[in-house]
Amino acid sequence: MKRRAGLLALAAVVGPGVLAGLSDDDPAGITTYSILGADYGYELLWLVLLSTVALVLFHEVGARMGVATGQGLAGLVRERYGIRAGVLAVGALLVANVGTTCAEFAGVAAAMELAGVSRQVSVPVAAVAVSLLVLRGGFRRVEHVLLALSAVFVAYILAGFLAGPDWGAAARGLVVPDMPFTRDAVLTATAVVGTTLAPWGLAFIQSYAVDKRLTVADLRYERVDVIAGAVMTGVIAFFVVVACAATLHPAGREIDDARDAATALEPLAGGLASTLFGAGLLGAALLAASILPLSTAYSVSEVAGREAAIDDSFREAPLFYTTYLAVVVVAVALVLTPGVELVPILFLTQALNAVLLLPLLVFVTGIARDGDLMGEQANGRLATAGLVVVIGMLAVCLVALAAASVGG
Amino acid sequence: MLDAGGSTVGRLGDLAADPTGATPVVTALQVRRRRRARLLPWESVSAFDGEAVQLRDGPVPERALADTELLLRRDVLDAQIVDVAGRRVVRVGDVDLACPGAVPAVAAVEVGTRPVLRRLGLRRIARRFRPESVAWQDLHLAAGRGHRIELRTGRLERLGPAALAQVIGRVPPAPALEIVRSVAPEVAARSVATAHPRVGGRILRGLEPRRAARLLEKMPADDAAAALRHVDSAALDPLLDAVETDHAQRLRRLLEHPADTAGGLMSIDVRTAAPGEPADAIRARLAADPPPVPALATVFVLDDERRPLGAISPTALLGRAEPAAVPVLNADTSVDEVIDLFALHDVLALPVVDVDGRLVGAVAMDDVLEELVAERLPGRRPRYRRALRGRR
Repeated sequence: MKRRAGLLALAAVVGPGVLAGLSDDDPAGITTYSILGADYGYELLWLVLLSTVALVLFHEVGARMGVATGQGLAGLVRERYGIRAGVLAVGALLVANVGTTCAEFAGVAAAMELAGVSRQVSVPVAAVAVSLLVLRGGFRRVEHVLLALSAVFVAYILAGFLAGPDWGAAARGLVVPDMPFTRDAVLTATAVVGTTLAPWGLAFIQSYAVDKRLTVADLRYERVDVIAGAVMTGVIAFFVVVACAATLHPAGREIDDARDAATALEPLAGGLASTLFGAGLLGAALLAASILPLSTAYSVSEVAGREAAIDDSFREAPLFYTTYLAVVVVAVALVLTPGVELVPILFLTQALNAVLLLPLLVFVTGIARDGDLMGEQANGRLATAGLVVVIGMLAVCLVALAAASVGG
Repeated sequence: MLDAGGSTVGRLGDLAADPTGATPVVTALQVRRRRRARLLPWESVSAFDGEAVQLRDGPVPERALADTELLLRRDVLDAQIVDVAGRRVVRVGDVDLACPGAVPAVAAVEVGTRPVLRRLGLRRIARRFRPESVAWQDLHLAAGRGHRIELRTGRLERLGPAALAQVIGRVPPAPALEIVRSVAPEVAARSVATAHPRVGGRILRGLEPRRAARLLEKMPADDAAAALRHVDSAALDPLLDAVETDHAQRLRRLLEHPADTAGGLMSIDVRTAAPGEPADAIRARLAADPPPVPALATVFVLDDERRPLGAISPTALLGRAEPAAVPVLNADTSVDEVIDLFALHDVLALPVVDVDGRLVGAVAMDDVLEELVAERLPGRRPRYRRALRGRR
C-alpha cells in the first residue's frame, strides 16, 4: 500500500527531469555521439560518463532552484544579476534555440527522407503536430504524450546490441580516461559535453518544475526523476557510441550526421539496426522540437517579467505563445528555404550553445548558493565545489578548443 | 555622491527602506567606493536631485542594515511580485519614489516592457509602450529576502482572506507556505478554504502535519475535504491522524465520496428540525448557531430515523415555518443531475441522504454555482475555480 502510494507520488512528479534529459539526445546529440563512436571507437566513452555526471549535478540543482524560488532560470538571472545579464542570456538563448530547433526539424526531414517522404511534407506536418500538441493539449496530456514519445529511444539500445560490440573494450573506454590531443578530438569532446548538458535543457528543467508547481515535499521524488532522466540520457548516448564504434569505426567510415550513421549501419549491422536508428532519430527530433520552443517561450516570458504557464490561454499569455510559434515558424522556414546552407547554421548554433553554457553554469552556481534566494535549499560549500569542478572542466575544454582552432 | 565640501565620496549603490508603514520610507543609502559598500542614514543627506546627492557637514555615522529593512535595488528591483489587484505575477522593472515630505518613500513599482527597455538604454522605443505600475498597497513581494521581510510587516493579514487566497494561489509553493505560517491561524484557515482546492492540497502537503491538522480543524469540513482530495494517499493518513478525532472522522466520511457527486459537493454543517416544531424555536436556534453560508439557512425537517420529510426555506422561516417537499439527493448523484435539479426547483439547498435514506449533508446553491462557473468559463482549467472568486 505504502509502496504503491510512493509510486503514485512519483508518477505525479516525474516529467521535468526525464523530458529535459532525454531531449538532450536530440539529432544534434545523436550526431555527436555517432561521430564520437565512428571516429574514436570506444576510446572516449568516459566523456559520456563524465557528461552524465555533470548532467545529474546541474539538472538536480536546476530543479531544486525552481522548487525553492518558484522562478525560472532567466527570471532568476534578471533578479540576481540585473536586467542586462538577463536580456543578454535570453538573447543568446533565443538565437541558439532557434538554431537548435532548425536542427530538430532537419532531423525530422532526414529521418523521413530515409523512409522516402519529402521534407516539404514531413517538416510542416511535424511543426503543426508539435505545436498543436503543446499549445492545445493541456499540461498533463502534453507531458504524457511526450514521455510516451521518448519510448522510441529504446531503439538505440536495440541498435547497440544488434551491432555486436566488444563489451570489454567498451567497459574499458568508459572508465579509463584517455585522450588524443588533436584539434578534432578536443572539438568532439567539447561537443559531447555541450550537447549533453545543453543550455536550453538547463533552462527548461527549472521552468518546467516551476510550471508544475512542485514543492519542497516533492523534491525527494523529483530527484529520482532528474537522476532517471540523466542516466537514461547517458545510457542512450552510450549505446549510440557503442553501435557506431562496433561497426563504423573498424570499417573506417566517416559520417557527417545521424542520418549518415543510420544508412552506414545497414550493410554492417543489418536493415533492422538501420531502421531502428532512423525511428529513434525521428522520435528524438519530435521530442526536442516540442521542448525547445517551449523552453525558449518560458525564458523570454520570464525575463520580460510575465511568467507564463502552459495551462494559460493565449489571451492570458500572448508573449509566451507568440514566442513559441515564432521559434517554430522561423526554424521551419529556415529548413525549407532552398539554398539556405543548414550545416553552418547547425554548427554555429552548437558552438554558441557550448559558449553560452559557461556563463549560464556560472549563474546557476551563483544563484544556487545564494541563501537570500534559495533559503534552506541553498547549496553548501561541497555542492558548490562540485559545480565549480564541472565549470572548470568545461572551461578547459573551451580554452583548449580556442587554442587548437587558432593554432590549427 | 558628494560630501559637504563637494568632493566625491562614492557612488550611490542602493537605498534602504522601512516597509512597516503604508509606504516604505527611505531610511538609508548605500555608498559604494572601490568595491566597499557603506550604509549611511538618510539624515546625513542635505540635498539631492536626479544627478547627485549632497551629504551634510560633519562626521558621517555608518550603520548596519536592520533585519526589517529592504534594500530597494537588491530586494525589490527585478524581483517577482504579486499584483493583488490585477491578480497576476509580474516582475518589478523600476521603483517609483515619491517625496511627500522631506524624505522620499516608495509609492509604486513599474512593471512591463517599458522600464526594461528604458534601463537597456532604449528610451525612444520605451516611450511607445504603455506605462504600467502597481501601487505599493496592491503588491506583495513574492520571493527572496523581500518576501520574508514583508511577511513581518503584517500587511498581508490586512488584505483579508479573499485577497490572501489569491496571493497564495499565485505565488510559488514555498512562499505560499511561508505566508500561511505567518498569518493568524483563523485567517490562514479562511484563506486556504477560499483558495482553489488544488492550492489548498499543495499547502496541506507542504506544511508540517501538526500545523496542517490545526488548519484543517479550522476550515469548513467541505472545503477541507475538497483540498484533501488533492493530497496523495501516502500523505493523507498521517495528516488525518493528527487531526482531532471527531473532525477527522467527518473528513474521512466526506472523502469517501468522489468529487463529482452530490456527496463530494455537500456541506455537513446542516440545520435540522423535528416535525411540528414551532417557528420561534427554529428561528432562535438558527440565530444562536448561524449556518456557514446563507443558502444553508434552509432547515431540513427530519423524522425519528433522520430521514428528510421536507425543507423550510429561509423565506418560509420568516412566516409559519411550513416545510415544503423537496427532491432528495443521494450521495452518489452526479453533479450534472444536481445542477439539473437545482434548475428545476426553486430551492437554495437540497438534502443529501445515505443508502438508508438518512440525512448526511446538504448541497447549497453556491456549491452548484461554482460548478457552473467552472464549466462556463473558457480555458482548460480544472473544475473548481473558487480561488478566483473569494468565498465566505
